[in-house]
Amino acid sequence: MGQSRLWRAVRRLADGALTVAITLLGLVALTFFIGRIVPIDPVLTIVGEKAPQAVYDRVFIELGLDKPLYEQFFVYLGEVIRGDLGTSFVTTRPVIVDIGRFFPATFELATLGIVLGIILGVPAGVVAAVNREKWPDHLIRVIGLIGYSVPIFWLSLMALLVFYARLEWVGGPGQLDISYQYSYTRVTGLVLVDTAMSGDFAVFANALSHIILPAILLGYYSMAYISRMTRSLMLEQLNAEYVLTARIKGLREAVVVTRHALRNAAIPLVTVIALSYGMLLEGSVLIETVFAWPGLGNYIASSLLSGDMEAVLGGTLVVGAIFVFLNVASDALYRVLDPRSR
Amino acid sequence: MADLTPEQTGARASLAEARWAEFKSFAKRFGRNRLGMIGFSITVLLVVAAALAPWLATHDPYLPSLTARLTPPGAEYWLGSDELGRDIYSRILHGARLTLFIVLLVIVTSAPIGLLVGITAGYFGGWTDRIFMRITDVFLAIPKLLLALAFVAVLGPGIVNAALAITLTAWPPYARLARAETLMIRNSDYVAAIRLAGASPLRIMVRHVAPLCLSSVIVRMTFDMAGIILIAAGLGFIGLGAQPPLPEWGAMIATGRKFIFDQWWVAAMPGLAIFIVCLGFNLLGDALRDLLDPHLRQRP
Amino acid sequence: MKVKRLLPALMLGLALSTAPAALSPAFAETPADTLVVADVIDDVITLDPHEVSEIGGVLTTNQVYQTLVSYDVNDPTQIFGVLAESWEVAEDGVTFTFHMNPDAKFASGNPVTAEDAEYSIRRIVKMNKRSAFIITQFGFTPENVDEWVKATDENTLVVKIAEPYAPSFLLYCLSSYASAIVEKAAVEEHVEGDDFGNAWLKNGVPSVGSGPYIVSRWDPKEAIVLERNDNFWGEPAPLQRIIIRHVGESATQRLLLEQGDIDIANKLTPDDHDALASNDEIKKLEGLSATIYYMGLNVRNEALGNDKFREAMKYLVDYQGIVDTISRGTMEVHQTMIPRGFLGATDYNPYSYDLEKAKALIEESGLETPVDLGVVVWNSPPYTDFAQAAQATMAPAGVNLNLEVVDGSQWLSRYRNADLDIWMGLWGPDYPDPHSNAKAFSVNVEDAPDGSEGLADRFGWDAGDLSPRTMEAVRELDTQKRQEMYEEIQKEHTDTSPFLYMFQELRAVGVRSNVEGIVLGTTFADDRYWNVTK
Repeated sequence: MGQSRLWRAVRRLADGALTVAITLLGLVALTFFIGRIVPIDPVLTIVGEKAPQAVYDRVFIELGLDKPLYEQFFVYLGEVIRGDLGTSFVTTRPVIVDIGRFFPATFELATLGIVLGIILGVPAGVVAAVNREKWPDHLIRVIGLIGYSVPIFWLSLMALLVFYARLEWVGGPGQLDISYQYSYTRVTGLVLVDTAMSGDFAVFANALSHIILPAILLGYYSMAYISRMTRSLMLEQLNAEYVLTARIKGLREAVVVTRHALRNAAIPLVTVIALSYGMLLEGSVLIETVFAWPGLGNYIASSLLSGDMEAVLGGTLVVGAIFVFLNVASDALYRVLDPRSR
Repeated sequence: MADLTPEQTGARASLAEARWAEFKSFAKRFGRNRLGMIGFSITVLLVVAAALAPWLATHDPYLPSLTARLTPPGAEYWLGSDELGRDIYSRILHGARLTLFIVLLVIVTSAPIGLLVGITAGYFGGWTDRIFMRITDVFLAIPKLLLALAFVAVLGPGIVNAALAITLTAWPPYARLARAETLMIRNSDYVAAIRLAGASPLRIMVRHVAPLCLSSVIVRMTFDMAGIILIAAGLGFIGLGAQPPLPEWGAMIATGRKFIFDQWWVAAMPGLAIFIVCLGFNLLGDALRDLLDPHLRQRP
Repeated sequence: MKVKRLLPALMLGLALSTAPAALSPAFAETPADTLVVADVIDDVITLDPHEVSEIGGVLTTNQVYQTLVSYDVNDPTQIFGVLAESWEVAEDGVTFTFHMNPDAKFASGNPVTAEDAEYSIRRIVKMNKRSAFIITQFGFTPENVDEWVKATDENTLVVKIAEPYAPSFLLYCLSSYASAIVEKAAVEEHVEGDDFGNAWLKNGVPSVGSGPYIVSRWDPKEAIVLERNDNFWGEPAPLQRIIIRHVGESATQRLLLEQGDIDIANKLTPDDHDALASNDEIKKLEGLSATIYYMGLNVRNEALGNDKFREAMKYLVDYQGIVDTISRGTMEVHQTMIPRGFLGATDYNPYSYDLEKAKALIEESGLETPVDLGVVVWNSPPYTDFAQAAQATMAPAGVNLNLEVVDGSQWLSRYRNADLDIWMGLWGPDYPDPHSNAKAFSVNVEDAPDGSEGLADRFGWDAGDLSPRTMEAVRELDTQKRQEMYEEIQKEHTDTSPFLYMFQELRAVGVRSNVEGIVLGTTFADDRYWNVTK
């Protein structure tokens, strides 16, 4: 009995691993072929417009662009498996090194965003559920819908205009004022952590003043989704029989809501949060562009515009892999936490 | 088919009546949903603005007037003028046409692709299902905007290409939805009976399975509209969507970005337009879902 | 029921506590010993001085590397020695002898010798990177360069070229950013295969030049940091550090400048300058730039192959109107191929907006209107503005421009492959000799000494006798005569060529008013920062 359960678990794990592997392979193939049929000429970006044809031809061969497409794909696949994502010719560094350099900024921003999203979104969802079809519910619904409806890059611009240029409450684009840029040691790549470790409060405060605005915007973006999902999960719980029983037993409403309903809703909520974390990585492409944030989204977008396809492929692959991972992880977490699915 | 017996005509008439009654009750319930009505009005407004743009506009949306660059909102230029002295109000009106065009183009292409993939996968199951769903998963594994960016890079910038690129990223959710519905229907007695009657798989899928997926697909579509507009605007903002001098709202924001700190209206106005329209679609979708979605309707 | 009130209160509290996260970001002045420059440098892909050609890269190597000779930016005819103390040209017109400056030393402390100069020029030719054409156009090849460029002793470099040209031509080219002198020993330590140390020097750190600054850090797409070269053999630079920071948006550059976060903003629009005009803390530094904005008309297109039609188009741009409105103070009307400030420049500007004349010319051309033409435009100002303005003024004559606004690399790629009707573009000379432009715009491949295609070929144009005449002009040793030759060539060129010249750029840089000593260059990214104080 125990063995067969173990066997089933192993099989399910293997099945899951295979699924993930196939998805990732597909991801590599998709990004590769997109990269190769892009009409952006990487050679030209390297040699510039004034170089003679001979220089152009030499670089074309150096990049391996004369080989057939499928051959280029297998070369690329082999390199990816070995953890080599090629070299970005814009930064002249291995793409994997670049990603290591740009990813922390995105991670830091998205994490702060999701924390704000949870802090704002979960209570909002609970309030909405408790006051279903009353004004707080409508208000929260509208606030959420606004989050879904507003172009985030536009909201960012407007926020910069108001809070940075006019009110001067927060720092502007970038992670730090330029004069602070080189006054701390980069250790983790997370600017808040690094500046805090430097012990210079002024630098830390400056970093905080720069990250707060994009983080709030991302937080708002994820709050829209989290509050909506929390609301419907809470409604489900509040109408469950055990809640009714608890109420009949005479428990106070606050206890019923927080101890019982919220606790049970928390399990699927974890999945929701994992998914919205993935959404934030996407939202960061535009936000990072507006805030000149040196993150992965900015790296991919600017590489795309300069035809640096190795960098685009590598970056997209990493973001895609994180997406897949978040999906798998949230599924797994759900299985572990939810007694019914065991 | 030409000759119908009196009973048949009678049955049809009563069916039509029943549908009409159902629609009336739906309209009544919808009318009570205040937010939904606001959304509906905004959508109607968008369609009207797009249809009557040449008559509602006060200026030629393309004609520069270099001496009137960057005029603040006022009597002459209601929403101000842009960096070439063009009237922003008139450009936004004409931009509504582009917005509608993109949304419709994406919807009419992505939903059928998604349905086709989803229903085929769900109906046949097995390897077909696995392969199709793996492909779907791969597309879902990349953030939509990033994928659309990559496709536009391949296709080249432009409004039709932007719409195509968005289509390529928009179909997977429909495929998933259709597959789930198909899986539910596939083994029902209803489909089994049709199959026994000798209908071909193609006929079953097109005539019997697809219509059953429609209501959830429609709800999904209304929600997608706002998302499509936002991605299209994002592409325009990065410079890969509609090209100048087309008054696409996202591209207008991108131009306005250069003047954001002094001539804020250049970027603010088109952004406001996007926001209002998306809010309209979302309110509408929200209301429709409450009313149409069978799963939600059962919910207390 | 209390929870109902508790939670909204909690939320409001949170909202309030995050909103005034003001933390009053101390808008710090830039440090007193640091010059902070904002520019668009996200396209920099190398800091190897023999490979750089983007603005940010050239701006950097110009502070870090030196050349044999240089010239006065205010009077380009004044050529003076830098790493070479003196030079002479032999009777044959092809042999140049340079005597090295014995005081010059590299940042490493080692002297700059003729051997380093020899190595540098050979390296340029043998690596043959994208800026090498500036040197190879004198006939150098990897095979002959060891013969033609030789250090005869520690202090003497002898350079032979293929045929005699105006002597200033070679000197200008040797003053270019592409002709930087690097320290041979330092580079050779890092050679991999036959890459001449390129893979190592690409990263720019450490740099191996003799200039007033050294590269201390390069974060691609973000910033380049230069530190003062403490071993500098000349007058040491007053400021310890230069940070060249990437700031893509002009509006942001302006705001940073206003708030004192940066000292120099290189990419401000006319609107930004207007807004800054009343600010006492900011001054506007003006200079002449040699960059020319033009539309290249591909004569392979049927309509554009028609001489009358092309002439009509030249009457369909409101040159003065654009200068007065969109480009206030950043452009002047300029309709010839050689920029003002260069030898041979003229003020021949025959075209202005004239719809009737254009209509008559189109009538004469026998073409049916409307004519639809695609224009490839870079998605960046001022190109998009120029293109849209031209679009509006051409339409009434039945010339419909369809703008294809693309990103920088596609813009270049379309033009390189001649896959277009019209290219909205610019040309910046690589060295301050008229030949840089004249060769590009009017020499066909069969007359080019290095056999490279110029712009004339790219747009499918046979320049006729203008092509050999241009090559004659660069061989003319008499400056006065050379000047006259260029004037004649240009007038004919402006009238007949498929190049619709519009403007010459005027530099306008925003600077904090306490910053002194900037020298704005005239050619490509030739600004000099080493005397800056603040």
